[in-house]
Amino acid sequence: MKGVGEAGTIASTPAVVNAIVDALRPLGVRDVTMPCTPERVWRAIEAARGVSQDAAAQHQARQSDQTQGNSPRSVQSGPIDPSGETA
Amino acid sequence: MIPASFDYVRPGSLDEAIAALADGGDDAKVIAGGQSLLPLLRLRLAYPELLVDIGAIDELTGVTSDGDSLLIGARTSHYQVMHDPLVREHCGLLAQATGTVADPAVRHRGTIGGSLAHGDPAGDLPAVIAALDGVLVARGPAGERQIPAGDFFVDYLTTALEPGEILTGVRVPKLGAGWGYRYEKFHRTAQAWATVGVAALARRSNGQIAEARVGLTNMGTVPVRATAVESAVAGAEASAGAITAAAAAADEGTQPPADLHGAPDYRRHLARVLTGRALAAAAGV
Repeated sequence: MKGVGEAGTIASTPAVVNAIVDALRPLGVRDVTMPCTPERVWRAIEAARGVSQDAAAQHQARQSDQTQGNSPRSVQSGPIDPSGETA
Repeated sequence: MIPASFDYVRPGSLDEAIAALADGGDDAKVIAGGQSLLPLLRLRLAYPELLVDIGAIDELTGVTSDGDSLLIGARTSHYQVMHDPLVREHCGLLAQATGTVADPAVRHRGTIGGSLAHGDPAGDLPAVIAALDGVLVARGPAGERQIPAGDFFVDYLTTALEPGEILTGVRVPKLGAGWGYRYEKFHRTAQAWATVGVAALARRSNGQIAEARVGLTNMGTVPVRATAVESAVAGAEASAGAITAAAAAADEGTQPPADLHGAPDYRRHLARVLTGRALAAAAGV
C-alpha cells in the first residue's frame, strides 16, 4: 500500500504544464520542459516566434548548465541565499 | 562549516577602529552586521586574521539631514533605513528598495554600509545608490574621502576603499517634489538576490519626463546606469509608449552574468521589461 496517497497528486504536475502549454499554444508553443521556470517559458515563446534563432539551442545548453551547476554564483548562492545577501 | 580562526577586536570609537584596521594590514576585515561576511567565513571563501567589529561605534548609526542631502551612517541597519522618517520623506526609493533586501532577519542585522562595501552587483543597494548619484564617505589613516558612487564600485566584490579605510556613511540627495521612484526586483523566491533589479527615478513636468535616472542590479560586475534609457526618455512624453520605447535600450552596454538564476540574454530581456515597469511607475504613467 506504500505511496498510495500520492496517486491523487500525480496528475497535478501534468495538469499545470498542460495549462501552460495550452495558454501558449496561440503563440505556436507545443512544449515547455519542466520545471516551467519563467526563463524556460520565455525561451519557449521566443523560440516559437523565431525572434531568437538560436533560442532553442540555448534552451538545451541552459539545461545542461543547470545540471552541472558550475557557475560562479552557484557556489555562493546555495548556502548564502537563505541567510541573505548583505553585510 | 566552522570559520578559520581569527583575532577579534570591538573598538568603541572610529579612530580606534581605523588604528586597529591599520595594525591588521591586508589581513584585517571590518565586520558590521556580518550578513555577507559570516557566510563567506563559514565557507572559508574568506579567511582574515583579524576582524574589526564596528558594532559598538554609535557615531556610525543613524540618518541626519544636511542641507540638500541626507547622510546615512554606514552601520544603520536596513530595518532602520526602511523606517527612518527622513529617508521615507526625502529618499523614498532607498526606503522601498531596502525593504526588498533579503528577509526580515537579515534586514535587522545587515547594514547599508556593509551592503555597499561588500560591492556585490547582485545586491540591491549598490544600483540604488548609483541611480541616486550617492556619494560614499570613507575614513582612513589619511583622513576622510568622498567617493561618488560611479567611482566606488570598481569590479565584482571590489570597491575603491583602500585597505585601512572604513566606509562611514553614504550621502544621498533629497529628492524634491516632482520626483517619482520605483525599485523593480525580479527574483523567484522572496529572500533571494535579484535576477535583475531596476532602480528608477523620474521627474515629471508638464506631461513630460524632464529627467530620469536608472540603475541596474546584477547586469554586470558592478551596478550600472542605463544611460541610453536616461537620454532617450529625457524630454519624452510621459506615456506608456514612450517609456517602453526608451526601455528597449536598457541592456545597452551591459555585461550580464550567466548563472543558475538566468542566462545573459534572459537577463537582458528582464532589464528591458523591468526598466519599462519601473520608469512607468516612477513617472506615474
